[in-house]
Amino acid sequence: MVTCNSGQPSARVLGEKFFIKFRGGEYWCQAIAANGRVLYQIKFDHSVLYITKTINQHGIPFWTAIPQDLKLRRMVAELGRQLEDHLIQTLCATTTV
Amino acid sequence: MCYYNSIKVTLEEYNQLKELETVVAFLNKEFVIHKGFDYGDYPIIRPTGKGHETERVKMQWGFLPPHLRNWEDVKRFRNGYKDESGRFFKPYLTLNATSEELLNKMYKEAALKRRCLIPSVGFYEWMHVQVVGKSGKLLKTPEKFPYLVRMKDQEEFYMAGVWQPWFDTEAKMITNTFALITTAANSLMKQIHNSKERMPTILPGDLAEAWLYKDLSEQDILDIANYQVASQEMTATPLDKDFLKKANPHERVVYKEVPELLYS
Repeated sequence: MVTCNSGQPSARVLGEKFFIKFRGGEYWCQAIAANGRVLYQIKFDHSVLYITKTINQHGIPFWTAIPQDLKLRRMVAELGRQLEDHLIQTLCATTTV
Repeated sequence: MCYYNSIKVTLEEYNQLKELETVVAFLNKEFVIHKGFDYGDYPIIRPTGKGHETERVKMQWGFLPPHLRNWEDVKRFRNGYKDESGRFFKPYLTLNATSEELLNKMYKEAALKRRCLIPSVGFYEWMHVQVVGKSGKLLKTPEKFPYLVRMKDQEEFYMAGVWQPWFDTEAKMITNTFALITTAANSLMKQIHNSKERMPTILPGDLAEAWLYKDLSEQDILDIANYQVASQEMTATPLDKDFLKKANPHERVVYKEVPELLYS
């Protein structure tokens, strides 16, 4: 069973799914290319969180949830760090804004 | 300058992030795919008992009969098990309840007292097709091709169901569970779900209302449970075999091995 939608903004899966560790658990993560940016989709038990790296007015990068959610700021920052560690370890790559 | 998560970002960056929200809204809707064998929670519609008022509540998909005492029993019930002598007891699949047997088996009490509707905007079925292998001979095992089936004129439609509160005697907790009712496949679904020739009992408005509220006789219950929506009211889209891993899982795919569907 499924819910679906006819409007289709551009979004494309990038690479394979991978696990990231977060607060004692392991969660599936999938990179998705959308509007020229990279979103990371993290699947928790019954919900999905999307995060991306952005940049503030002073050029300092930070991670944010899409859509924005102030309550999740710390969690998102932590997840972002885990993601970067994962990418560095497995791909010798890092994230850019 | 604008704020995103209370941090100042440039207007250009802000606009880009807002555009991403549209993409996420789309992905969120698109990725809500409930797989029966996950035995997860699913929103269903049931009467509140106050007039014609309904409520949407989450219940576990996979009907659990009251005689099961605890989750260990549930595990055995759903997966099967071997007793001490090595005899294997087959699993019970209670995601679906067949309409013809609704009043013969464990579902009878629920069919009489606890009927519900399962809202959906589409469901998947797999067509089994015998294909020719590299050697030029027909392969023994048929290949499976997935389809997304929707209703032509209704974005959301309603499938008949029955629900059962199940009491865990160890944890002293109640879990509400449900089964989706299936009926004989119509001509379109016979082509798609050609291995079993079944489909969900999809109810039009008047029957959905009767299913929820009316004091139905046993014959009425069977008549509604056996209702077969017409092929012409449905639309089916062939999907990528790996559609669950796709960013756009509902993209139409054309297979030369698969016969064209007839909507007659």
